[in-house]
Amino acid sequence: MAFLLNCPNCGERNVHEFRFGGEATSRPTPNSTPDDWIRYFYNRGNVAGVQREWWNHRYGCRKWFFALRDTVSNQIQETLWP
Amino acid sequence: MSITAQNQAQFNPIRRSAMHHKHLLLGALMVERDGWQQPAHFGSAEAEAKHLREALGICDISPRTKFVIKGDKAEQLVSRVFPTALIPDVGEIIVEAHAGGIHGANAALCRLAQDEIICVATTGLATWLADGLKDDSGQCVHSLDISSALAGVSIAGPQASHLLAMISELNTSDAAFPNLCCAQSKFADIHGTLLRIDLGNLPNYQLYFGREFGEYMWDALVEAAEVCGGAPVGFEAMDQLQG
Amino acid sequence: MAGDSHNQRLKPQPTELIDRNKSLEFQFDGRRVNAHQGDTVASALHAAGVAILSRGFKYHRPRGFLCGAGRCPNCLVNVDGVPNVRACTQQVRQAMNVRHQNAWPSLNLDFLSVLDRLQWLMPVGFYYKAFHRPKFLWGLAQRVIRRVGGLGSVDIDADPVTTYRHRYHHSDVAVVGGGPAGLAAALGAAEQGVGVTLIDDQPELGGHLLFNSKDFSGLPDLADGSGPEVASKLIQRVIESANIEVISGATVFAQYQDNLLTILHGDELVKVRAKSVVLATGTYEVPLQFQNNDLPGIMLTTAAQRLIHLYGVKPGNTVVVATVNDQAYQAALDLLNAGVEVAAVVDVRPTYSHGLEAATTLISRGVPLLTGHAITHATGKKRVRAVVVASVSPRSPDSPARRITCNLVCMAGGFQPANALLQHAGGSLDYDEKSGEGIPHDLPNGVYVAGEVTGVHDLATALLQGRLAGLEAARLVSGPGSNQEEIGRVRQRLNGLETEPGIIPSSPVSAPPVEAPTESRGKKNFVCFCEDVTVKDISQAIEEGFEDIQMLKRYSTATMGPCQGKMCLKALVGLCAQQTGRTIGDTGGTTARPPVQPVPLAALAGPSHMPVKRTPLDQNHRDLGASMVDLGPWQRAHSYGSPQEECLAVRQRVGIIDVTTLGKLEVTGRDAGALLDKVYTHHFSNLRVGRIRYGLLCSDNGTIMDDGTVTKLAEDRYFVTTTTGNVDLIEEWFNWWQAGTGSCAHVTNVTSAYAAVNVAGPRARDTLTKLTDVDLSAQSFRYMRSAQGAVAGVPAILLRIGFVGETGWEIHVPAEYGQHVWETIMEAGREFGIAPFGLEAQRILRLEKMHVIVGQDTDAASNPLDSGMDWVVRFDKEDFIGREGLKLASEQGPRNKLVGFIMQNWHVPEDGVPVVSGGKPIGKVTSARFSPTMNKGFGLAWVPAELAQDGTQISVLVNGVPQPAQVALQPFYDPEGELLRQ
Repeated sequence: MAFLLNCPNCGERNVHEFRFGGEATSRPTPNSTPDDWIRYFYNRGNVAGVQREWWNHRYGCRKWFFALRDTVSNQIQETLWP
Repeated sequence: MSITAQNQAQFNPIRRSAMHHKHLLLGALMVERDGWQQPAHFGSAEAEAKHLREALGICDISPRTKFVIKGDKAEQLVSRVFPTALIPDVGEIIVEAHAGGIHGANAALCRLAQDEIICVATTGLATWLADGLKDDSGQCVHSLDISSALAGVSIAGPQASHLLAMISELNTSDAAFPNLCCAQSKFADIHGTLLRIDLGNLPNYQLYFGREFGEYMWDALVEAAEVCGGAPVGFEAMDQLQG
Repeated sequence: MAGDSHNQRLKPQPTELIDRNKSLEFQFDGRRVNAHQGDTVASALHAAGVAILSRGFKYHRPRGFLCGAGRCPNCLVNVDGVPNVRACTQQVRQAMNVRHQNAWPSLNLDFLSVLDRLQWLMPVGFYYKAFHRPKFLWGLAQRVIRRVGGLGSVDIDADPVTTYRHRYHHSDVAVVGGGPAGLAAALGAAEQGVGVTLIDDQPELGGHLLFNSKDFSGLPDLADGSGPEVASKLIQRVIESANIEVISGATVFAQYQDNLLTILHGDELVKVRAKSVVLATGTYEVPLQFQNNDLPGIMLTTAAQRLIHLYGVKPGNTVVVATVNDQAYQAALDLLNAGVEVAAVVDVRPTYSHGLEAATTLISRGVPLLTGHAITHATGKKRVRAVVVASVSPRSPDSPARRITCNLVCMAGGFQPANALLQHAGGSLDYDEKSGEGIPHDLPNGVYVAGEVTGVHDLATALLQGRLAGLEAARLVSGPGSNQEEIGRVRQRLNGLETEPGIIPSSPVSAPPVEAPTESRGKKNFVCFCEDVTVKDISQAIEEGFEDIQMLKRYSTATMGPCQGKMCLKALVGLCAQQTGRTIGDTGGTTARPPVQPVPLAALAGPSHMPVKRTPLDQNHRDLGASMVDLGPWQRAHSYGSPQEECLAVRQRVGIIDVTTLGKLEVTGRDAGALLDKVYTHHFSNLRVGRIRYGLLCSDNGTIMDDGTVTKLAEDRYFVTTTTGNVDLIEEWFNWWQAGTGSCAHVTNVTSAYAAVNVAGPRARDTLTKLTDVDLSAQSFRYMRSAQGAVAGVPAILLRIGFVGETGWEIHVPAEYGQHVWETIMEAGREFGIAPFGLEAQRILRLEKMHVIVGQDTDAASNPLDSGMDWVVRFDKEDFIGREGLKLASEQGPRNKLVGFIMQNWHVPEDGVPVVSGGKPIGKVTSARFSPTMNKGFGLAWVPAELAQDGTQISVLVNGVPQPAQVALQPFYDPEGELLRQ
């Protein structure tokens, strides 16, 4: 896998310059139920389609950003600042 | 906090770059300059100057001062210290000659991101920069002397971009990376910051990377330089280029 | 050698690649062979009359020159110690030593050819069926099969012959293939002003035009003259173009997403990233299927044409040309003109194309053209001697099978498009039932195709397609709108090409006959030459139920050899379709994966070295005789001779250790305190300047991520330490929690900025007092405090912490002063008996204090409540990462706990052995050592919570035998920590 990822700061680079940070999830508020928290710890959407996910430009500017990636075709729709 | 003259005399602390041992192995003539042990040459400054003009030379520039300025107000802080300089856009470099009013001292302002500027300067400017970049305003800006954290190598000569093409996928052609550009990318499998600051007509790339990788990166660069017809050079040969 | 005739060179040919003025000599199996500069090993051997080049993989049948283009396995030889080199593409060098492979004692006499008579013992998939009962037989059989199998052999003691380089290259347009379509594409794109890289795997550009003597006049603006003349004009324009860079002798072996092409170019691996790619990779000619179609002397028509035109070598004396298309008639003419007697042209079709010039010429020169016929079998032992030809329609009495004497057979079995790269890129194929070829259907953005790879076999079409592809590829780079008109014009002309005056309609190409005539039983009728898979094997496999093309491939191993299906995929698919009653489209094909051609692993590795991290004190350790060890990428001193001695030095006198590898982060800014409060389990915003606090980081579900210390150096300035391997991860973690929040806390990795040493022991204070003005007395510099000042004349941060449990300081100085400070401290401590201590001694010392090492004593499931660190978790804090997970864990109560233990006899367990009860494992030892202070084995272990009481008896497995130990909850050494605070 050597596709190009467009870092919002540095531009298009080989994906090997980046570190995948996982599917974007939303952290429950402190007074949520234990079930909410457990879902947040361990469950993921894992969609076959466009997924919002975190990436870090580890070998570049080291900033965190979002990518909207189609998990079936592996095409990146968009990258954006959080 | 700085070293008092008395302390210095008593202990005589010497500064060595991460590649010090490698220079010794290559038979370099080590000389103290700006408080650092540096290689003057590796046998013949004339031969090294020739390499630089015709192919390429790699030179240890770790002693240079490097400051990072981060935060929303990074631009403003830098402008305070360099009132006459333009502020570069992301990916650009502005060079201030005679920085700090010192003849021959220069500082390169490199914009790595919207909120991150690094200032790479002559070794002797460290104190002046540290004083100037102090900010107690409580605003969102922070400066840090990272000179010790980064080792640096200058890759200069007509073949310089060919060497870079062997160790990095970053496009360093003249079209994509002209003079006074900067970028962070992967070089020989590690993180590096690349600044292009040509010496007159001679292409010159300064590559900065984690000091812990000093020996590893030096080996990788020497190997690649040989393939391109280049060799390690000392500061005497580099000085000749600066005129 | 029987059947050989020597001096097979022809008179000089107009497009030959050899320089007859330069003679070379090389060795082949001890025999001296003459060659010219430009010859390949195979062409030189052929000129010298050598017919057998190798022995087949399974049956060890003699094999000879087949494809001449590096696509089949027949010519694999060992060159100067390098195995599996293709003789037909390897250029001859002076004094080269070429040896055969896979035959003993010689190519002419191979003892293992007895296997050819044992085919009945080795049907398709035999290793799944035979030699398994009784069970022990397989062990034996496996060893024999492994020894006999394989083609080349590697001398593992020899030095590597080639060192490979890597290079990255960026291009606007990359064109793969230097034949007519590729040349036209490169020119079309370059015309638009974009940068073009043209990559071709042959030594010279021109592709098949170089050996195609057909006359292509008719459309002067497109093609005028013979193949070589057309090529020469195009090549000249390419050379003159300012923006076309040509890389010849380079094979593109893979295409990855976003147009990354990986190319093997001699001893260089080039990775090209292009904005758009034109694939003009052409086709492979494939063999025909008939009995004994693998005999030496039986080759492809294009192979014969290459020998004649490129190397000036006569392929044989008497030839039978067997074909399914019109192209072979030109080849027959070439052979005739080269002085080869053409005994017959055997065409499986009922007739050749109307008006085919080559056919007319052949007839006029008395060559019999047998249409509606096919070869049923070939005869000969070490070389073909004759073929038997029969009518394809049901046998009629007036055309019986006939035997034709020949020592050369040229097969034109049709074409297999070289569309692997297209498939790598994600393109899809449609199958043409008539020709059996896969036609490009869907192409990803930025990928264009032109020429024979699209299934056309007509030069005018190829040239126009090439131009169109080049223009479209350029447009992708320059932007929409540019050259739109020209693109429209070319497309229109392409569509109406058939009707243009002067155009000869393209000759239809059909797939080779898949059903062998009835005389053949298919046993020696080869489909896959690499793996020795026959028509019979395929039929049998299908009969056994392997009807799906993917299953059929894997079961029969057809297409899985060095050629990866170039020669046999077409026949495999055709046979499968025919015998399962499906269309070729329904049968489909196998999946093309990188690499397209074999690539040496050394080429992929290149000059890469492992990135190694060294501390500024690295040389000092080596000079002191330390044994160095890898701690992830770091080099650390393991010990300087005796870890036990080093421990005693620290406990009794003073020791110094290099701790530079510890992760260090500067966290500053208005919100720095808030950030640390959020990510750590303890409070940090309330830390006073000059104080240090132990910090534990947890994941949100409460499991331990990392630990370290946090020192407040100034208001809004924190100095954070992490474990050695984790600093990058922690930096990213801190930044992640801030991302998009507008928080003002700046994190900078300063691990390498500081050289750090830990000076510890009863005489540590005495040693350091000599070197600094900072007041180190117990009252002024308390435990868990920090100070800044000069040490050995150098600015330093001093932290009074105690990983090893003695009075001591961690001293951080700018890295460039590292060596100086180490040497000065060693000198100052000499009178007190200072000794350097390494990683191993440190491990023992910290273990005596029961200090946990994250990752060693904890794992991804451990939380601080189980690991004896409840005191570090502050539930009174509002919200921190891990709070909810820990709350849930504390409600449940731990199932296992991390405790200390002391062995009750002289045994010392190893890290990782189980804690057992009743013969079953109930826990695990995470760290264990022998303590010179206590003279016992001891350590840390996970045990069930009910056993985690002081003094409980447990059993630890040492060398497989349970040994008694006692649980200890207090540190073994100085449990109250008095020494630390002195």
